[in-house]
Amino acid sequence: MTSKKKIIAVQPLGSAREAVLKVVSASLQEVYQIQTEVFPNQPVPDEAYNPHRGQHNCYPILKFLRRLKPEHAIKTMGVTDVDLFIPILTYVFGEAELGGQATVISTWRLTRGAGEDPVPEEKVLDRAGKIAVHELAHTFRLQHCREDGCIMGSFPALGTIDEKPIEFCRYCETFLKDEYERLGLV
Amino acid sequence: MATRLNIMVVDDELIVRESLKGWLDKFGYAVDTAQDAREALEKLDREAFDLLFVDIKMPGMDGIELLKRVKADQPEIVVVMITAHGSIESSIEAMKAGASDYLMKPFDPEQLELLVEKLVQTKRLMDENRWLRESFEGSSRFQDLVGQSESMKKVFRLIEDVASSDTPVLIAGETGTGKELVAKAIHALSPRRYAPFVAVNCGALTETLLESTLFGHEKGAFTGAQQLQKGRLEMAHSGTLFLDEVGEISLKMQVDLLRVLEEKKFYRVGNPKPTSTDFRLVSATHRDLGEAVEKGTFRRDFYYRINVIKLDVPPLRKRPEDIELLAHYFLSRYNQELNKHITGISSEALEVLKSYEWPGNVRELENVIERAVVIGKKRKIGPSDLPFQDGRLMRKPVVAGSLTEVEKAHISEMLEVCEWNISQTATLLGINRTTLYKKIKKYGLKEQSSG
Repeated sequence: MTSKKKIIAVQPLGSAREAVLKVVSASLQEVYQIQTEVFPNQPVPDEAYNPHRGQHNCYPILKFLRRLKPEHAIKTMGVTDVDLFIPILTYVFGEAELGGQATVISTWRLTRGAGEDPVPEEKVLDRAGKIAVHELAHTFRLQHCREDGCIMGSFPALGTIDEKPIEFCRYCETFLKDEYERLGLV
Repeated sequence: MATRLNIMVVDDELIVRESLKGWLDKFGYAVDTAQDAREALEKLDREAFDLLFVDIKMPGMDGIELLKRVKADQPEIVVVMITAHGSIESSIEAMKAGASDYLMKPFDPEQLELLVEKLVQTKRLMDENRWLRESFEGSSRFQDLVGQSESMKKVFRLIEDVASSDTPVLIAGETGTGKELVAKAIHALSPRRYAPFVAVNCGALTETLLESTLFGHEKGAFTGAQQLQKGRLEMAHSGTLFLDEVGEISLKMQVDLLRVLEEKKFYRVGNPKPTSTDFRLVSATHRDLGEAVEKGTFRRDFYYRINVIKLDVPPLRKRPEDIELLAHYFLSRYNQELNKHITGISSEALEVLKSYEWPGNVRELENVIERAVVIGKKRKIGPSDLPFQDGRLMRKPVVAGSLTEVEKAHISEMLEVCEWNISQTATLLGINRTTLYKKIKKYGLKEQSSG
């Protein structure tokens, strides 16, 4: 009996677009060198919606994704197009727990930018790929990084996302390798 | 990686604590949480924090009150107020009470990140300032003397001026001001520093014993003199002789010593042949020797001889600006000696120390800090660790009784003070652990159950 090959699950939530799913999936596979698998679409859980804020709370979504995670998936990446928040912040592009099992990103804010509305599709996809790589790294225990040209730099604003290349600095690469070893992935 | 900051999030809402902690964790900060002001104060007592996020509205003690307490005790901690019920008034009140900034829940991610970045810079500057201040404090030490007051700086300058010559120096100052340390500093900076520094406490010895101690004696010079004994005058050859409490020397002994100073030779008791010696004399007294000369209880010629240069060491009450510096100096020393990790002295405790008159001067302050380090259980020395009540030193009534009874009572008290920590008690008593165990057994002392 052979166990299934370990993967990163890409879980569409709500009406995530096909193009976004493809870019996210390809970006993760390239950077993490782990195969990705896109699963059938699921609705965004109702309990995540906060009517006062008109936004979706990431925490119930992460809980939902943890429940959905297939056994052979190392991590689950949720992809949606609703406006996300965490209780202390007005909005987030995505959210992950340090060392957690699941993460979620949204394209909602990626199509909107101060003074650059509407942004070209190509840019939206580029941003989605970068945010997916960044958020998933948190689940591998990587923290924010101050090295120039590292995808783990913090980016609260869209402008800073566009400046980042989609790669880790040598330190973060080492930390990721350490975590792979800890998880028995290498 | 980000600069390591120790942060505490104080908020009664679990979701806010967890959410902010989770966000800060990703920057590599060490983050702790507290659900109310009481828990926050307990944690602040035990651990060092750089930055607090404090919710203004909390049940029990509110955030403004917590902010005031933190600022009074640990003003170096940066406090950022957070509120969901924010009003301009409470935010202004918070800023007046020392908050560095305030945030309205939910925070804008860009604003929050900029704020934390600014606080990291502030912390870095504060650390640099502290380092500079500590470097300065290092420069306020002179040999083993500590002080940054003008009066002590004058003492340091005078020590440097007189150290290179052989001129006798008379150090005047109240008990506990550090006269012997001044004498040692003079010796340490003098050309005689590689030769012995020999100290004699003239007030502690009877006239006969002082004579024998200073001049030495031949074998059989008097009953009990079973072998030749070199005197301190001889031992101090090439070095410095320090006569502490010189005002206690008898008139007869003053005559003998004056001759030694003039002829640079002396006679061992029981030996008719003179012995040559060459030392620098430094004397010290807590008495007004000029007045003693006028009263005829101190020889004028001897006084002039020892008092070529007079150096006054100011009492601690005349240099209150040195109290904090000295207290921290002793805290650091006793932390090392007693292997404790007390990080500082609370502002309330410092106020108590500064408002006291210190009749026993630096030595008394040293004893108070040593005691506080021994009994201190918190991160900082607080007022309850100090033996003061209403600005007065609390002294236990003297135990009337035999020496044995006094020893038993004293050991018992020290054991209680140290909560029966044998090593600490032995250190405090200046005896080893084995001796302490023997005495505990001998006096049948038993630990009182605290339960």
